[in-house]
Amino acid sequence: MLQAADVTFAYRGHAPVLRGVTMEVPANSFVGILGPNGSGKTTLLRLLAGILPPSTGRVVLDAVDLRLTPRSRVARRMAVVPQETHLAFDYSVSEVVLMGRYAHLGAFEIEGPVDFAIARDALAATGTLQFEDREFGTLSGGEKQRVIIAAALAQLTGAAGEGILLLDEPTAALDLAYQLELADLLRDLQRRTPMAIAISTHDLNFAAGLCRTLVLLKNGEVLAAGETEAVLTPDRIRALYGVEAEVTRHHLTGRLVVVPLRRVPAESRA
Amino acid sequence: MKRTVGHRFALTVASFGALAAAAIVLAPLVGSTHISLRRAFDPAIPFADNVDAQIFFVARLPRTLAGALVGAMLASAGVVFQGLLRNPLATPFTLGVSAGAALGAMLAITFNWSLAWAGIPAAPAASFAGSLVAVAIVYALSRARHSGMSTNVLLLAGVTMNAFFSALILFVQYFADFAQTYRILRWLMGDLDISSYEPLVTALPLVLVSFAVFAWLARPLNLLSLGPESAGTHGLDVTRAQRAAFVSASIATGAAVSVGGPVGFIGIIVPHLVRLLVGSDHRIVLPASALFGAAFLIACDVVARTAMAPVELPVGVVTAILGGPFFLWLLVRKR
Amino acid sequence: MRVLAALIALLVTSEPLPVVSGFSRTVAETVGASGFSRTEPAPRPFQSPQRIISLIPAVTEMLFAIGAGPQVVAVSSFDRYPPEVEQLQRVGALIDPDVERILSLRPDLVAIFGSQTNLRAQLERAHIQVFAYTDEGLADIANTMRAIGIRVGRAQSGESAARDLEARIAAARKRVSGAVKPKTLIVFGREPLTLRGIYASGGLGFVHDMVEAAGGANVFGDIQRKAVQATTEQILARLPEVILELRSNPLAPETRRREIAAWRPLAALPAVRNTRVYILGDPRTVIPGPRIAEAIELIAETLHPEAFR
Repeated sequence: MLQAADVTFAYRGHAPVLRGVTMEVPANSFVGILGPNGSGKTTLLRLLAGILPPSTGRVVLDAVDLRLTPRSRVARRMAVVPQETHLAFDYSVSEVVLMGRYAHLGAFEIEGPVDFAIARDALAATGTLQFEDREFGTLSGGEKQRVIIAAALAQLTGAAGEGILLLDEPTAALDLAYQLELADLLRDLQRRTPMAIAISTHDLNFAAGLCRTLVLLKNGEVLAAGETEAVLTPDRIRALYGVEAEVTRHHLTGRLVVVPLRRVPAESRA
Repeated sequence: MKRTVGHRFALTVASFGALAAAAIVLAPLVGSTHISLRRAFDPAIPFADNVDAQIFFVARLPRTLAGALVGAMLASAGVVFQGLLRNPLATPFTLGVSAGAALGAMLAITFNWSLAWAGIPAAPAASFAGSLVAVAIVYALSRARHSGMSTNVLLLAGVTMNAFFSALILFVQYFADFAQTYRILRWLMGDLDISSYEPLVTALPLVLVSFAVFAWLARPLNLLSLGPESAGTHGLDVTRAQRAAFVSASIATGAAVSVGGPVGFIGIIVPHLVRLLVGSDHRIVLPASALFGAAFLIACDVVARTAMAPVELPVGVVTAILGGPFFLWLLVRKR
Repeated sequence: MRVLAALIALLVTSEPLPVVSGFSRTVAETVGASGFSRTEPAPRPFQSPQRIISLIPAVTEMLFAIGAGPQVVAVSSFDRYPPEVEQLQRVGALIDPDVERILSLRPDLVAIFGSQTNLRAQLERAHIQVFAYTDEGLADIANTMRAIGIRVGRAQSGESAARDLEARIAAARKRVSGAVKPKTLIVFGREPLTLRGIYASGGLGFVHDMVEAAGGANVFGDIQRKAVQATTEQILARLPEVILELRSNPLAPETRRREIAAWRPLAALPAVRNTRVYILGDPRTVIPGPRIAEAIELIAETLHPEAFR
């Protein structure tokens, strides 16, 4: 559905951050973009979202170049949850979620009962309905993120076709409890509504436990891409992070777990 | 979510509109001179002989309407600039518009420009032209480095423009004589005593166009407060919205300044008070600020012309006396 | 007054513009031109000054009137009279005195405004004699001529010029003494073509005195200030019978017509109804110097034409 085709990106006057990257986010997939700092994973996510235009290559949504697709149509199919959200002014939680309906309304159209219902459902789905009249700025980091996810859901509801949810470093600001909650929430959402989810993260275990496919980025290039079990091997981890690690399936959760063991001396890195 | 936006909009416009209407109706009744309303509205007395009518219709009413127009424009331009720059401390004068207007007016006054052949007073026309020049330069600077419009570059360009024009103003000041300096200083303090309806009629098309664009901008401004990238992923054409905001708010400010001079603090006091009362949704804040701004400036002008009668204070002094402490309070309170 | 003006300038220019010090200083100096220092007594070991600089057009005229013209080596940028000054060097004026040039001309007496305290300090440091000029009213003009006369060693000329002036003024007063004084709005300046920014004369200062002597009654005479920012309402409330605009340069006929027409919106004013709006473009009316008597005669004739037939 969403594809990056041989994409290269460089900020003006700088060396390329991404080189010849090809990857896809198919329907109903759960894709993790992994890599160390500076590997270009946030940039790749922003290219997929259409925030940045590729220097060469194309990003394609439903076989049409993103740059040729009207903004509102892109917005109805794809929503982004950024790493942090800072509001310049004080909006209530319900106002923030209703902003997600922008692409569904005309220039002077105001939200109707349908939009209100969608917003409340989205809040309920992310377990934040009790905050609806609270001021957004008074929530904790984890609560804010769930509200933004609710806004993204509201944005995708009513799309012609499956929605795509992109999350940039969703665990960066969260503590352990919230990380677990987030993982459960995302799984739950995908069960209820068919949608594709792509996250960029540096947290191996989070990605391993959640994503069905992975894209490993090293220095702006795709090191490997495919199903998680196939891609997340000790060799790959050594190549990507310079760390010797064990990959096992946890006896209680049944999910893949990566245990770092030791650093690899420089000469023997692949 | 007990009331829909439509509901709240109607309520807000009704209540703030009543406030503005009350101000417009009551202000001309008040003044340093006692007049007889009965005489003023007596159709039997020819207008040319009717002093009370002239005080009401030539001295006070145009002044009140000017206060309404300038107050509404500056307050709503303030809201738009704050939304554009994502900063509650931005004012209509942050980006250099008023410095350009002041320079234009100063040049007209100092070098005695006269549009006598066209029957148009030079200072207001020059001030509007000056504001457009400032806007054009800031706009061009903000586009120089990106194809879009970076608000950081915009802010820097605006601040630079303020400094540059202020230096030019100091330079021009040295060519001005005694009397011209007084005129310039008086212009800078704001003066709503327009004594005719012409400046209002001239400014009206600009007002209508600006307000139309503001109406369209209300929802985009909400989205912009999420940040330009997030606003973009919500489906907003961020560059177009930013440009529209910048140009329309600058034109509104330039028009207001050409009518009444650069009256300070309206563009920051009113938006803040309004947000405290009605929340942050720009679809409510914009009309409320325009109406409240009108009422507020009219009230300040009434104070200016009656507090120290028979001497009048410039209206900019009254707004500054109210605005200075307000500004401090804004900076000090923790959010 | 100076402090209040500077404070106002500070308050209002700090929000729309960061232009503060220039304006507050300017206002302070401009307003302070009507300060309160008295003219100085003559210094004790006396020698007639041979190189005089005058920053005040009125004082320049006085110097020439009492015969000290040949000793004047430089004048202000605004001096126009007598014609001899066109040959002289210019050293700036109230706001922008050119200290370097003043010093380079090696004067032995410099006439400065009483409010130019910085300049005074600099000249005194250079041991140059200073005559501090202030303008308090019509009577002050003759007294200043006396003081100048003493100061430049021409006490007799000063005294006789002062007496002549006083006599001439008294004669003009007498000429119109029988007539009823029309309520007169005296306008220093306003924005061209509109009624905005009207500055009128209050009850203090030589302009007020001049018009009173010429047989007019200043509508703002009750306000104890030199200048009043007159609003439309205030003017309508006081119903002037004559409007007298004083300018330092003559107007082209077309411009004069347009400027007079600018008063039409205030049709309730007797001055407008009876077409008694006059714009005098004569520098004598705005310089408190020896020609003030001529100015009074001019204004008297404007206000009371019947007394001059």
